[in-house]
Amino acid sequence: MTMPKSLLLYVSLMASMLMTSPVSAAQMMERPVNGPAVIIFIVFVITTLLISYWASKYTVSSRQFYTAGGNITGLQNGTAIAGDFMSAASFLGISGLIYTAGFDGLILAVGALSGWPIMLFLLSERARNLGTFTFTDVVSFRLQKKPIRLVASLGAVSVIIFYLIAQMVGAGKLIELLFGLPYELAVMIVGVLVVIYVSVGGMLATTWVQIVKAVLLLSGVSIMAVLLLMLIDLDLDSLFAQSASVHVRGEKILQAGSLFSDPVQAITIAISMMFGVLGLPHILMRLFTVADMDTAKRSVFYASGLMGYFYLLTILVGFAAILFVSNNEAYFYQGKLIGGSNMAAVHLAHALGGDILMGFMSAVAFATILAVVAGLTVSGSAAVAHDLYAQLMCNGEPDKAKELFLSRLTAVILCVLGVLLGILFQHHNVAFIAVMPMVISASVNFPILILAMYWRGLSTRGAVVGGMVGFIGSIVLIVAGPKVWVSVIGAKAPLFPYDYPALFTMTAAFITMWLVSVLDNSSEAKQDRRLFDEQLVAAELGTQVSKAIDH
Amino acid sequence: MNDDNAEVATIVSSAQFQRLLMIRSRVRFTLALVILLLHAFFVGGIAFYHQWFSQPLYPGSSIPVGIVAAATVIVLMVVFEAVYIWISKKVFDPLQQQVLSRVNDHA
Repeated sequence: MTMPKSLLLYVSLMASMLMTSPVSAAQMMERPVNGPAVIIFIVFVITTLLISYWASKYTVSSRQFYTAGGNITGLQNGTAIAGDFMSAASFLGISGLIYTAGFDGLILAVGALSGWPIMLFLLSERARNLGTFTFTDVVSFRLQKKPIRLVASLGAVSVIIFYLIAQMVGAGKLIELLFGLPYELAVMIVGVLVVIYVSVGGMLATTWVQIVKAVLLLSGVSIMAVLLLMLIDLDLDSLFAQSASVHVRGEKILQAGSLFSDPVQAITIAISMMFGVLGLPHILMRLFTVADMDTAKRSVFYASGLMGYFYLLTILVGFAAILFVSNNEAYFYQGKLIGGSNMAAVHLAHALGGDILMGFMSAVAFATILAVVAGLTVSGSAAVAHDLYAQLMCNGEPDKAKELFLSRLTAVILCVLGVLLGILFQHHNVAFIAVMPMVISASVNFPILILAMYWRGLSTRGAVVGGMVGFIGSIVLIVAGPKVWVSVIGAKAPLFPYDYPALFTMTAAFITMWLVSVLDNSSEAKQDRRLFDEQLVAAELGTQVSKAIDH
Repeated sequence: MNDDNAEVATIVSSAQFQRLLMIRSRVRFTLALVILLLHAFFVGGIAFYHQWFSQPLYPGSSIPVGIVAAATVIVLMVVFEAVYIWISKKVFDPLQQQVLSRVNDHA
């Protein structure tokens, strides 16, 4: 395979990874509305609404709203973190990429997990000790509050909005396909339910929605794996042999490097996945829902255990789909897989467990989108009401009732915005929007966070300039890359060859932060460095935690 | 504020705090490096030594080396997290308690 050809294949695969391909009405007629899916989904909605009603009684302060009062246990929080991160995109997208491309699809499964140990070792304890509600709190501990909060909030809010749009568009298409609902109605259902969860029940309700969803998703995947292993008599060898024999690409699906002919392409995707995790505001926010550094650490460990298990099974599902879906005509319409490669796992559920299992997995996919959107909305509320209003505009002394009201209002505005943008982008190729959050997170949020905590030399000026370099670099390179320059603008060749530019933008951010900080001898920089010792004591011993929460 | 500064300086310069800081940083960064290498090992299988990753696990098998390598990398990542939790419990927590009790004595 020549390089441009495989690049093209790669681009189209990645483009379809997070967004299901559009489906024609004729295709939808092929599949009547699935009864079990509707029933299971309605039970899920009623349960989560009851949870929100229950949680509303406790959600009376900002601290309750943002962090559920810090009373979540380690195992609960770990499950909720896993719920936040295991999106429909990761389950359907990764298994779909393996279904189409084979081995190289594993890069997303390994990449998605690889950031978590780093989060545990380097971030979880110190961040928990230094912050109150958001990661912006952590980076403003010793740096000049105004400039650093502005840059960190820019990173946080842009990650949240891009992530939200990607989820909304994915949700609309997925639900249209699975439940036969019109796209606009599907997106609005998501918007309305999330507004209720978040504005009524705050972080407590959101956490329990995540937990319920994570348990459902893990059970669904486990049932699929058990049925599958029984069907193939535990003979994995023959699973791979038969998959290769039925796949259009044949033996290539078992061969590494068949999708990525350019090593840099593989490396920069791996870097984006790994370090993107470490700056996601809605994930970092979950560290503050537990009582102390020890629980924060254990919750990341539980989350990783669940996700490791989940990604292993997702790999199995991807290869099994090749065997059981790709040679079953019932799942094809005019030679194409109904719903595109993203539906491979859902068709596999049907092949393994009939309408009931397929209905269950469809309902779980819908629930998954709801939960992820809810998590994003809470963190967006905190970024606006806590970081921008309470800390920046009111210098840390806000009117408490106003702040809480503003959090709820922001949640509503974010959801309305998400629904409108979701509908606006319905017919556009928005695959690039799914890339943005990971790249910005790795190039803006993560470098500021890690250097603020571990490198005394970092000055505010260094963090701000480096953060802006990371931010502008990410946007420019994504626009110049294949997903916008070719797929949206329509040029023949991209100006910049890679979809995920984090290898370059993150490196540029780090070098700029280092260089500007080293050259910065201002009195502010001296103050930033003088406060490092105080931060070090708080970060390592957690002695400031109680003080920070009380004020 | 001056009292606070003095207290911070006392804690930071204390031998126990320095010991906690040194051991913890060493463990944190060593394990982080191990994870980076594990991930690099897997990505290298796609980018550089794909012939080896594409070979059958043993003659006559259809399972390629790469699949087993990927699964092992995923499992090892979680195992190293367990190692960190274990070291924290056995080594860091007692040390941290020591430092904290000295801080509280001074206060």
